Amino acid sequence: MQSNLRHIARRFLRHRAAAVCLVILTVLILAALLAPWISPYGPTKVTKDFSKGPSAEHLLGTDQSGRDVLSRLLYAMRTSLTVGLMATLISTAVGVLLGLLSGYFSGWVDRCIMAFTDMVMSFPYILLVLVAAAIFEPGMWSIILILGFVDWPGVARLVRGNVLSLRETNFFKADIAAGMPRRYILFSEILPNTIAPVLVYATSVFAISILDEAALSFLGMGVLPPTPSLGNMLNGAQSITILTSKPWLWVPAGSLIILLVVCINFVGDALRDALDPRNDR
Amino acid sequence: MAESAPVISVEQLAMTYRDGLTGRRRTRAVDGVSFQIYEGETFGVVGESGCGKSTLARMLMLLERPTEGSVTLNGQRLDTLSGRELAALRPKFQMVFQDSGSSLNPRKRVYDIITEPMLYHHVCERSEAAQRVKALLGLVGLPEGVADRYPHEFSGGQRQRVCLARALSLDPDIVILDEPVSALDVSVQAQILNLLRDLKETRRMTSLFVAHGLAAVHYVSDRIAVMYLGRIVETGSADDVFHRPAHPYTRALLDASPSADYAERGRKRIVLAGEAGGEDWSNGCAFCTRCPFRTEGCERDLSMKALGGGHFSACTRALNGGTGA
Repeated sequence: MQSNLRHIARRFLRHRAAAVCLVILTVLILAALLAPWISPYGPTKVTKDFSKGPSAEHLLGTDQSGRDVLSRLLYAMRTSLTVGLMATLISTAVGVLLGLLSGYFSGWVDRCIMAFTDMVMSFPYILLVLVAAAIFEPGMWSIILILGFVDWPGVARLVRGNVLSLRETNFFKADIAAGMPRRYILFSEILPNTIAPVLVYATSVFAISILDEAALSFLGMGVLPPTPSLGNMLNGAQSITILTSKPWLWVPAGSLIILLVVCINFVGDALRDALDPRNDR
Repeated sequence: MAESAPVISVEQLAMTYRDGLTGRRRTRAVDGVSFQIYEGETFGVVGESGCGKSTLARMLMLLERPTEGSVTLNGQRLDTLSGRELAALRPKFQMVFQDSGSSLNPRKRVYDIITEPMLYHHVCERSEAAQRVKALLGLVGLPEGVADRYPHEFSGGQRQRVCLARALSLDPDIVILDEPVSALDVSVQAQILNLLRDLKETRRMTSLFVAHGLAAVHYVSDRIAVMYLGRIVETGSADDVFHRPAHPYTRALLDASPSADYAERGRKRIVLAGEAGGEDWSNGCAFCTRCPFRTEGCERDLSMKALGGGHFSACTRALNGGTGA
């Protein structure tokens, strides 16, 4: 196992861009985690300056309510990363479970689960999220649950396909031939062999969730102010005057979203290559 | 041997696959196969690709339910059992597969691969597991240190040994070996074949050995059945079938293998034309379309003709003094 991990690390580091992205991501996550200690002001603290440009006191300026943009940005990253992470965890857990069941029990169980999966997949995504956000009380946790519900079909299909191919392997047949119980075959034999592709897929779900949270909050259906999120910080950019004359109100948040999503995707790509032993040369 | 009850007994076993939208197109992969295997015996099944020998092995393991016929293990009929009853009996008949690469879970150590089924079926206690793994690895000729390794660290031959150790770990009454050496290098094949012979001698291992090379089957088996398109065309003691083949197909199989003996090179061979299958042969001898000795009406006689000493052949020519040269 030790040598296995070293092999994975070596294959990962062959992707230079991904290695850089991993460093950036680590710094950003640390900054988000340490926000209460490193941010110069509280996220909702109102100072005497309103809509001021960057200065020594406020490195990234202040917003229309006089709050420090840098401080809000750090806290917003906390919110966005939490939403992304939790939504990914929920959708991955649901997807893995349904995918396992669907792939293992062929027949009517499979048909029911797949029909439901296709149904969820065929809904116009953003519309579903908007309707759900309108029905439930907007807030961080409803966003997490909504995104978690929307993202699982991809995972379920991925896992189902994997299980179907694992069913053809001889070690699966040997387990059947040895009369091993279902729970052993499912969780001890099949599940560990689907972890790698799921992990890779989860990174892209993570990135998409961050984008979706930003989109929803931008539309005012997501995380509600005064709690900062990367999306609702961009909300102000809906006004032309801010867009043209007060770039410090939207450029930092926008760039941070781009940076997070690009980095996560690069890391995911490298992870896919790193986890595949066939790439060892 | 014939006096005691057989370990496994197969009666009129058949498997019909249906394809097409309405299931009207049928492929009869195995067509009415019967035989018995007695304790301590190795029964070899030979035949070309597609003759149904692997389907036969899978049916014996109940990995596929036969469409007709019965499989009886130690007097207990297996094919009519429910899934739960069958699972409880499964340790008694184990299998080794052809492709050793996919036979072992790549994420588990050999130790876990071997012990998990044993512990589940209470073949041994957790405290004795290490001791048993050591003994089993010794039995299949692997050093005990390999228990901590992962499958990808082994060669094909070593993996096949691990598979054999896993199969033997449950103390089975019979081991079904489905082309266990076909994917290995020739030198490694010989090692595995020797191992199988040793296991038969030292542990009185009962097995069904499936392969497509008659020489390998002759080397490890006591009795041999030759299959052609789903049916057994000749069966008998290993020496009878190998040295005194009575069915033209067996002759052709023997003639097809190259010989290192210079004097043998000029021998007269039966070389088969065309490929197996295709025509409708459901009511007659499946081999008649390729048979060089075909005579008027011979293809309609499908009965197994006794040649003495447990040697049987489906060919009418067998009665008239062999296949001739």
